[in-house]
Amino acid sequence: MRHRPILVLSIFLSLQLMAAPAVPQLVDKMPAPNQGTANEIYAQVLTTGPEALAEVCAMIVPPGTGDDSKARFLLSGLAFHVSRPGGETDRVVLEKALLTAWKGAKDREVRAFFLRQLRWCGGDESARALRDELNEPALCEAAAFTVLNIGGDAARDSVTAALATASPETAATLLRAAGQLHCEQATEAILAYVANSQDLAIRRMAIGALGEIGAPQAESVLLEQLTTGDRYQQSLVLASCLRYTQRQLELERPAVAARVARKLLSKTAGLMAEPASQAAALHTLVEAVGDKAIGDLLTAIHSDQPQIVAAAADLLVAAPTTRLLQEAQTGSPSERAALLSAIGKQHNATALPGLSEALKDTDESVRHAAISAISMLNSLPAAQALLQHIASNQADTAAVAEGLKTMSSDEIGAAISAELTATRPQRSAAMLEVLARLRAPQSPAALLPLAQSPDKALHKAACAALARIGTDKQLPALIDILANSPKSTARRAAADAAVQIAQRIESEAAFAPFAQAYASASTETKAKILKVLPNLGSSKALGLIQQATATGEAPVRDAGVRALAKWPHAPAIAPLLKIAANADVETHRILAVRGAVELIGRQTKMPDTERIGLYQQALMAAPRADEKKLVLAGLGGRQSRRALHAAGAFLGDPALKSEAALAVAKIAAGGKAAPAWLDKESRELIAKAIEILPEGAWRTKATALIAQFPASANLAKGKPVTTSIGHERGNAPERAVDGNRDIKAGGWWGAGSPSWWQVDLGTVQTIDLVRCYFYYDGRRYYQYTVSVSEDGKAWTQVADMSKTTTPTTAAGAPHGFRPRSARYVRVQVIRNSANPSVHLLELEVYAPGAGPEKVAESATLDAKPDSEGFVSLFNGKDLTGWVGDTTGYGVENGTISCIKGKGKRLSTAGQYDNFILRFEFKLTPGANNGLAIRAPLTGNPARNGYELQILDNTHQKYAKLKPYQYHGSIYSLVPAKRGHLKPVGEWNQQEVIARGDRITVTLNGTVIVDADVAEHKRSERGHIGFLGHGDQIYARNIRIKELHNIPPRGFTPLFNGQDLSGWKGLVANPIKRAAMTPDQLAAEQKKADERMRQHWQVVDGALVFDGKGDSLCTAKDYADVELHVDWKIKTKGDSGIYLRGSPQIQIWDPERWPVGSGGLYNNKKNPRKPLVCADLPVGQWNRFRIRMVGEKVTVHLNDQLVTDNVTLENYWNRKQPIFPTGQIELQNHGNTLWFRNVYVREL
Amino acid sequence: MKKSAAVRSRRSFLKESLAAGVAFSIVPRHVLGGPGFLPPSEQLTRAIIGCGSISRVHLPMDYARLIAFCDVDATRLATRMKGREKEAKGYRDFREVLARPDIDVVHLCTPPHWHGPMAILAAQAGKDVWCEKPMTRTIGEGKKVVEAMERYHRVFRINTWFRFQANFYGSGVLARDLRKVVESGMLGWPLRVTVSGVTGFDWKHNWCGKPNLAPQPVPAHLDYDMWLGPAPYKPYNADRVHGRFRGYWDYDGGGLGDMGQHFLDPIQYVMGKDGDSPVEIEADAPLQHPDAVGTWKRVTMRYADGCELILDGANQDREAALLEGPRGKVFKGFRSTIPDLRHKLKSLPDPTPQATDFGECVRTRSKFALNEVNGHRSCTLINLAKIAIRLGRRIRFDPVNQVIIDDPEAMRLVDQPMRAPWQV
Repeated sequence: MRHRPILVLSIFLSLQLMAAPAVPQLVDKMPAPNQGTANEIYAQVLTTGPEALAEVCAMIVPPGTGDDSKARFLLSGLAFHVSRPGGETDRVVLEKALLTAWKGAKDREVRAFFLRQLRWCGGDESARALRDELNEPALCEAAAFTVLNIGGDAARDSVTAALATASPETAATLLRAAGQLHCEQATEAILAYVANSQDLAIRRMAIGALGEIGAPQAESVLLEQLTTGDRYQQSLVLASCLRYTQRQLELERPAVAARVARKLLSKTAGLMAEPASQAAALHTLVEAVGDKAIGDLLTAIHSDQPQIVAAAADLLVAAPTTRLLQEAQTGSPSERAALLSAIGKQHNATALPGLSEALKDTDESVRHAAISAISMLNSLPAAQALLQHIASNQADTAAVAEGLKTMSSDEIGAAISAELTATRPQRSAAMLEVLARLRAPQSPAALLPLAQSPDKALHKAACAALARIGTDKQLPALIDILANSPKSTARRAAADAAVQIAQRIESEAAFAPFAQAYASASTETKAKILKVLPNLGSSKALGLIQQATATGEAPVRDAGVRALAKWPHAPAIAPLLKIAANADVETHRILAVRGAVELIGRQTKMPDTERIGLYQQALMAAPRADEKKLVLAGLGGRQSRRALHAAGAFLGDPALKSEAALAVAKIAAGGKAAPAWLDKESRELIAKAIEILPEGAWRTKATALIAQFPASANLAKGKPVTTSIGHERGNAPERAVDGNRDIKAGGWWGAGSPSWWQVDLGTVQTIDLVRCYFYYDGRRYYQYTVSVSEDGKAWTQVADMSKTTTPTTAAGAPHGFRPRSARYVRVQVIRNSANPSVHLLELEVYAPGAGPEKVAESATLDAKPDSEGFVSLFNGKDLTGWVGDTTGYGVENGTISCIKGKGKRLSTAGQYDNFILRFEFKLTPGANNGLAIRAPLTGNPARNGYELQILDNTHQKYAKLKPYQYHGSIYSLVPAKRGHLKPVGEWNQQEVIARGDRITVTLNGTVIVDADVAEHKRSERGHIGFLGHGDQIYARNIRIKELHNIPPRGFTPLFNGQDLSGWKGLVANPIKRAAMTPDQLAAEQKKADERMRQHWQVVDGALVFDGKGDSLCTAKDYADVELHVDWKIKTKGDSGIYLRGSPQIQIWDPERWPVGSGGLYNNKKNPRKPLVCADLPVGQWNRFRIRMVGEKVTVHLNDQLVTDNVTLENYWNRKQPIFPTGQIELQNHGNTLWFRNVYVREL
Repeated sequence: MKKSAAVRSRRSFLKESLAAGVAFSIVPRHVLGGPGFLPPSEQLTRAIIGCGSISRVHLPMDYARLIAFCDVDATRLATRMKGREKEAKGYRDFREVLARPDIDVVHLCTPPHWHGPMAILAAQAGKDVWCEKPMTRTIGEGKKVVEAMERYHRVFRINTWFRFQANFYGSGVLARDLRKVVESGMLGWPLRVTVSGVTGFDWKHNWCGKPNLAPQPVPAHLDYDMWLGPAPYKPYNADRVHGRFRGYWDYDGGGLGDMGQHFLDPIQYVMGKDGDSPVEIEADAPLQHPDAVGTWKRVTMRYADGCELILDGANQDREAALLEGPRGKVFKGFRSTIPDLRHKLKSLPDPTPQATDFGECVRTRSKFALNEVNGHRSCTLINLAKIAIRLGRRIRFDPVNQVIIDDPEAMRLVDQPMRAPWQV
């Protein structure tokens, strides 16, 4: 294609033009999902011209008479779009169209809508055109908004003109607009309103406008108005006067501004009791005349209003310091204090002598203000002045300390420490606190002499400060103190400081000074340094410690072992265990074991096998019972067979047996579920531990565990086995009879299926139970049969699991049968749903009565729908198909009953979204249960899904129910109609229909709930279940019919369940289609559509393809999408989903193609196979969830991820990436197909 | 608006001196003041304007006596006042509350379209203001509030607190600790900050409005005209008012308006950008309805020094760090690429303490930790994001003059008119 660019381009262009869709189609694309798409649509509308705009404008209707939101989206989007820089041409076109539409519109709200769009894109033409609308009472406001947003001379002219003919309804709006636009020409008209209008609201507006405009002739009128009206009126007038002064500044008339501000301040009457306004006037005054306002401010500072004093002081910060100092010598203490704090805010060093003078004042508040002001100078002399001050006036110590804390110059730390070393200790107390709170940056070196002081308080405070602000430079000195100071408090404080500094800097750099000091230190000093090292965490420090543990010097070696035992990280475990095993000093052995055990316990990511190995080493090395007890306690938290046996070994030790027994119980019964590795030996250990354990929770738990798995004779264990096929890696067939069913310990990994495995019991015996344990992951299932034989030739099948699709579990599957004589037991594996291999973890065979449990008659759900299309959720015999609290519910006489005091939550294994559920239930007095729908298996179903109440609300204990708690209500959301429950003890019939956002509940023939839950964003799919509270209820005849072709929120159905609308037939391929002329394409399409109707049909809400003809294609093209499709095929079936007209997401029979469906099978460079085979057996419905963004495709099949963000290659032209858009196709591959629930969401 | 050099220098002289005042570290009352410095009555009084659900948060504050309530809906007013009729009086028009001389502080619990004009009228009437978030609906209104608070010398705070108290929302750490990390320089500079589900924040897209509302009769107990106040007139529909107003551009801005100031105010503090704003803003969002707020995917804001603030509304970046610098990252819950960060934090100096006692600030006329100046800057982030989302184009902003550069029509979203008689 590359060698014909011009031709291709012209074809492309002509297609573009031809394809420019009609206006309604463009409107229909609203709201555009992103700006790019929006811009394309705008371009199309604008290219089509004014008629297109008129067509869109014509779609706007009065609110409440139809849904015109798509047109509104488009017009407002356009209004913003054309207002972009460089969009002037478009802007003019749209402005004209909107003005025309506005003129033509009759309805007030429609007119207002056009005016609102002109707010964003209107210009002078609109400002002029709206002049008359400004006098229309109904639309004056909307027009004024637009004119105000447009601004400029045209807007001013229109408003001024409109004001001349304003009515009482429009006057306020126009006055406001005149003010905001600064329409100076309107001043006279506004003044007339002030003089003549009787309407208070209008007068207020006029006064406000005068302040905004600031014309000279308004000044006297405004000031006159100050004395009229109520308090609110006065504060508005005052605000307008203040605005007037402000406006004078904007108009560069500072003298007028000052004059009016001073007039406002000079009014001494009631009005000036408003400190806020006075503050504002002062503010303007300072703005107007700068430091010429100082006199006014100094007058204000003598106000009896503290707020004025504070405001004036803030403004005085700008005044000359000398003047303020002078003023601060007289006046009341509070005035002087305010002035001093203003001086402080000037940060002027020359103020220091004057401020120091104020420190001598007799009034405390003045002194404290001076202290605070001096602190703000933040200099060495300032600090010295304060320190000197407390030498003579100890009463101010606290205030000085507060002040010093706020200082942060480098020299201040030095000043404080100099002062401290020279002053009496009692005065230092406050200083020490200051010291301890110093903030960086400081000069930490200055504190070192203090750290060496013999005075305890001093060296502690200095070290505390150093810990916060010290650097690596102080480390050598601190190390020296911690090693050599005669005072133990100093050593400790220095060690703490050194450690904190070290932790702040890079760990190896921190270690260097320690290493240096260590190298030249005496034996005694080395020991002291070693003690600190564990806090450093540097790997080199660990090396030094290990080295110390091996030296000949006893004190150093001792300190080394102690340090190693305190090391915080895992690398110390091995050397500690080595010391524990080999040390000749008893203390060292104890220290090492304890250190190691603690470290092992602290590792969160260590694998259990490694951990238990280490614990066992510690046990061997532990010298005394105390240490062994520590290890046993550590083992108690680990659920593994190896841990159990390690602990169990001490059950016979009189000194340790109680700890060992507790550990055994915790290991065995501490997990959430019964351990899979429980075998005979383990069981014996547990039984022994139970004998030792005192009465209590652990004894009870362990006893319950044993009772759950009583001792029984597994006849297959250790017996010879044979197989039809080889095994993978070391997973030999014998592993399936080794008594270990741990998933990781393996079993027989058979190299393929179908294949068989059999065990020889040695002699012919009577058996009645075989239990199979297959690999489990919550999803996969195995299809198999079990047969027995006396001679290995004639086989009798005793269990048939060849049709099962129930996932395997850790509990395995028991297969009970009538007692039979047998020597051989064979498992014939037909299929593993996940991959071709077989993974038999264990197979157990039991004689009658020796089996670990009584096995219920095996039963599967009868999945055949009845004449109305309902299938049963309950087989009447057992809880097959149900999960959760299966022990809390009983089954008798075809009824499920919630067991009193037990039954909690019982859920269907399957998930349902849209359905009709019918069931019968019977209540007992006061019984409370609930019906969960669309709920996850865990969490609160009344919050995540929906809970429909099942409740005997007639019982007296429910006298005060909330409306949404009565029977049938959707809990917390929708109350049900009451009074339709049958009396307690009688059967009720209930039907629940969940269809999209609509949930209806019909009780005994009456609809009691009919709710739209659209606004509650809950789960749209989930389990159905009974939510028991241990109250007895009964349920039976539980049947469900799933409803199809109802899209989840945000999705659009591609298939309506009725006919083929929205679909078309297939014409050639995308490249060939692009090359056709529009006429050719139309003709071909017509033929293809006819062909489509012959072979694709809708039967029972599903699209059915007869295996002839072509693929089915969506009428529309799609780019980035999320797509849901349910599909069903026959044996050897083959199909696929084409995205953007290209192959494909594969669908095929997993029996024939075991990789399974959902891969991008036409890829060459990128992955083509699915991650797992997640297909359900042929004949069942499968569900795809597909997401395609850009060229990447992600596919979930039956909720399993099968394709993870893989590039879909362009099959039609391998050199190109996949097309950006195209039709979705359901592929023909020559066989019968079914599709339903086809939904799309464009991204 | 050209100004002479003289006027400008006087104004800047004033600004600098005021700025110095803000930087003044807080000295306790016993140091600063004598007895005469305090207001005559230690007992402050306050009023709540707007009695919707958020006002419940404002009931239990004990720094001042609560003596007045006000709401345009008689039912709501009665509900909120129930049991308080003795100590407090109810009003339907807030102007009557402002006219009462015995009220020191008003709590603005109205929808955001009222915050600006009400705060300014309150300042003119000499009241201090405790304002619900977001501070204002437009940048223009915010500028005017800042001016009024300075001019009338009022004390102002926003009702969010994550910059100085409690864990910083879902991030699970104190904003102060994050500030310490940033201040220490450990992460390097410039920073990239992501606010998304991954980093601990929920943008609440459920606050979208419904397009195509049909007119409904106004309930008798509601003064709808006063409820609208400064906002353009649109026919009444129950979905516009009480508890749903966030879904409409005329009153707020969806989840951005609801959570924005909670999330972004601490971010400005953590980045040390309390006096700054981004210079470039870009949004990825579907086309917005003229009336109803829609969803959005991502807003990217860049500061002049290269720092980036990302609002990842779609939670697309699954690996995002809360803070990311060239030398390290800090994730939700203080997980970090810097080893032992929590430990290192202990030895770092604390940031400058913040003034967090509102009653004390009212009495000493000093600035609260979260005041109109930094509050306006954090609200500007929300308002810039809203503009970028609605306009559908990248905008450039001048943080000093607070105007959009080279796009005069976009400025129409910065300064929006109000219905008479309301203005800012």
